[in-house]
Amino acid sequence: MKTSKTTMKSKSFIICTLLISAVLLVGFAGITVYVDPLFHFHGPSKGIQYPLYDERYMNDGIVRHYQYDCIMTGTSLTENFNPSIFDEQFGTNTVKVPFSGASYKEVNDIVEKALKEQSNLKYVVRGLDGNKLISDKDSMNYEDYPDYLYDNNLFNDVKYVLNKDLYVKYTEYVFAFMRLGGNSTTFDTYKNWAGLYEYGRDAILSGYERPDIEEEKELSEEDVELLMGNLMQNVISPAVNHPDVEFYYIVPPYSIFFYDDLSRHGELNRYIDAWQIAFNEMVKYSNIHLYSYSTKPEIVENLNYYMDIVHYNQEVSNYIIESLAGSEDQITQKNVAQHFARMRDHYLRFDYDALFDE
Amino acid sequence: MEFNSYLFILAMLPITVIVFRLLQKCNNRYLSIAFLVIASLFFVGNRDLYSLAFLLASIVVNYAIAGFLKHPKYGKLILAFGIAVNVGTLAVVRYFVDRMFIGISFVTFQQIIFLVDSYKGLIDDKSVANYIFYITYFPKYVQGPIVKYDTVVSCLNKEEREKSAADEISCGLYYFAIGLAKKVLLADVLAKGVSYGWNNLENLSSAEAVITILLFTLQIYFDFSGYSHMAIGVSKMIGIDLPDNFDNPYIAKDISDFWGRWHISLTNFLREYIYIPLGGNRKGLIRTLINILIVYIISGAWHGAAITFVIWGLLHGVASCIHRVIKPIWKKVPGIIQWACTFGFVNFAWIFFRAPSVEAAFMMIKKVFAFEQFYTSEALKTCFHTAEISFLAGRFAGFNDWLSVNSGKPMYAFVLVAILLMFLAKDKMEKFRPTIWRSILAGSCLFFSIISLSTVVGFIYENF
Repeated sequence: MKTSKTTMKSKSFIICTLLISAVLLVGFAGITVYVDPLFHFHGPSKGIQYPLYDERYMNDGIVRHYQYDCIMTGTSLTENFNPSIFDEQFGTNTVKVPFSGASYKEVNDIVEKALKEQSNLKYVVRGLDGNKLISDKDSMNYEDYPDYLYDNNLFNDVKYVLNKDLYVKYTEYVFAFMRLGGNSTTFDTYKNWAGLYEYGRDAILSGYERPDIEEEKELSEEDVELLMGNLMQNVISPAVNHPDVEFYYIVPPYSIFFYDDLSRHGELNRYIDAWQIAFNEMVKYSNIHLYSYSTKPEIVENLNYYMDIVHYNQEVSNYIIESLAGSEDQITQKNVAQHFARMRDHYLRFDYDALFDE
Repeated sequence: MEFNSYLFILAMLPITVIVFRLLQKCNNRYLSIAFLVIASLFFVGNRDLYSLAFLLASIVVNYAIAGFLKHPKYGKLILAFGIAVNVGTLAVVRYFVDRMFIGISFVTFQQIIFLVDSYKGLIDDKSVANYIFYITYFPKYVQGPIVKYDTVVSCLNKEEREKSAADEISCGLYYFAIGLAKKVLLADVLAKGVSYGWNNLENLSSAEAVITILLFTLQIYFDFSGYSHMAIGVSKMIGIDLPDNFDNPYIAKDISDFWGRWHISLTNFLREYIYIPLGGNRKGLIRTLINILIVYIISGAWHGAAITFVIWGLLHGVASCIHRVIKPIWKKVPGIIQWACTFGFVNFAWIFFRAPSVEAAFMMIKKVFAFEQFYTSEALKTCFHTAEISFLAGRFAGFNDWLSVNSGKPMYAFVLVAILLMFLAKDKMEKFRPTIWRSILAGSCLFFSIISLSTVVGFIYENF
């Protein structure tokens, strides 16, 4: 019986089929390994321009494979920070790795990783969101984590290198970026959203619905337990474990409407009491440099600086980083009591109703 | 572990095939069986330890029952007890336990086959090793095919194999690659459109309702037949032949023909172990029709706890009864009409199979027959905007219009290709001829499927 010219021996069929799939798979994976848009295996390759745009996929790689001596991190309130300003003042080389909406733990995890990966790390600059202090120390606000990028398990890296969705979203994006003449994203512009929004009273009020007045709430024992657990594990312990690294902790300035919201919910005293406990703890450590802008009405009450009740503009972001070189806004053991006395005096007596007068 | 996972394709499958083939060369039958049993237990346990515990308990209980089936006086009673234990366990788990045990429905039927055939004396060698191997054998464990004891056990006894290992592996590799592509490249993409439709039922247009129903018809076919191809392919590579489970069911021209092509092993099981013991067609027309209805209601209930599955089964039962009665007239109907009615009915019945509730099913039907609003939303079209489409659109600007989400062309093209494959690509494993084109096709299917694994969607029949 005649066999077709295309008929093969079974052994040849097996080898040919496996060879075809192996060559395609290795080639496909090889492109991603070489370009490595998520910096999972190595730092930026020579000759390739890298767009930075996906925090949870890229930050781990940046921390592991970039060269730096300062890490700047926090939530969306730190995304507009310009590391170049800090570098100019302190003579450093900073990477910015913010996590929008992150809990203290999530941010601390990247700090711990940087401390582990970078032996010559000198500075940690980190935002501490005011409204996330009283939280479970292990809470994570982001569910869909690419765990395979964060561990040291080489086997599950197949989810990165043999993944067509990631290939198009990241590897192919690098090629498209370069075809359009793009240059590697700087850390000043990485996740910087300042220019994308409107600021001012109307912008704030478009997203703020004034709540009804609620009963006054006290800081409970359970609250203190939560905040101390969160603080010790996710804020203080890296400083304790690395006394040779300078930790610059920033409590970002929320707008006066944030305090109105706290006041209406009966939480203003609770909030101030909680932060006083936290500040009293943090100022004990010589390598923790604590900065707060809550008693600066020229920032907090200037509505043109804000796009909503918490997020401020580029000007405020730049001021914050510039202030780290000085001591005007620094809170120490000497002035912490005075700082909170001023806070209580100002915010507990503020006329919030006047904010809503036309 | 699942067939469509990195761990299985890149590790367990090649290791299992290579090691088993080497053990076969050593001619140590028990070592070969032991290896496959360990591999099977690992396959199940890696996925879910509770399912593994359930499997082990089922093995112990059923083997113990089988030991008493030869009792001269109470054998039949013990058989009835054994069947009741298996069916009762399935019912209790399904209706009262808030946990899914992988493969429970299929194991239940396998155990019933073992007990009944043991009772009838159809199983010669009921050694512990053979029995455990039969029940646990991993290619068929999760979603079938439902096979008889001798189908798998006798394959281990082959003194002289009809085909060489290379012949079997090449054939198995091809079918595994095709099955994997059916599942990952077709069914999983269709699943997104189906999920969109059912999750946005209230806002669907009539056109979208029709599309959603059709998408599910395609999805369940590619999902289940894809799994069956993979199971048969894996088993073929090991050297054990499993029977075909699908034979292009959507070309069927009547409901009886459909069930001779869809989940064939289930149809065979229901006929041999339920329909015939009930009396089959030997007790007059009325009793025959009742038996048919019973079988299909059981089939529906076997698929799931929800009443929608029972309704689905009942619909098929009623259709089968009607076909039995009007068979002489039906034969005279033009073939195209036969096909259109059968295909239309099957699509309609699938509504109840997929619907989360009876109310949702009727809402979908109402949407279809409202004949209003014929738009298709961007959200539905986006479901078909795969990574391949994004890649092509990014690389070839000239095709941007054609490949854009708004145009809907990717969705329609995808569905059209799926329909063509559904009708034209043969399900049955006919005489396999290794050719260069099949090699290129299989290699490409493996490649595209493996790089699509990260967005894994579970198998539909795994839930049963």
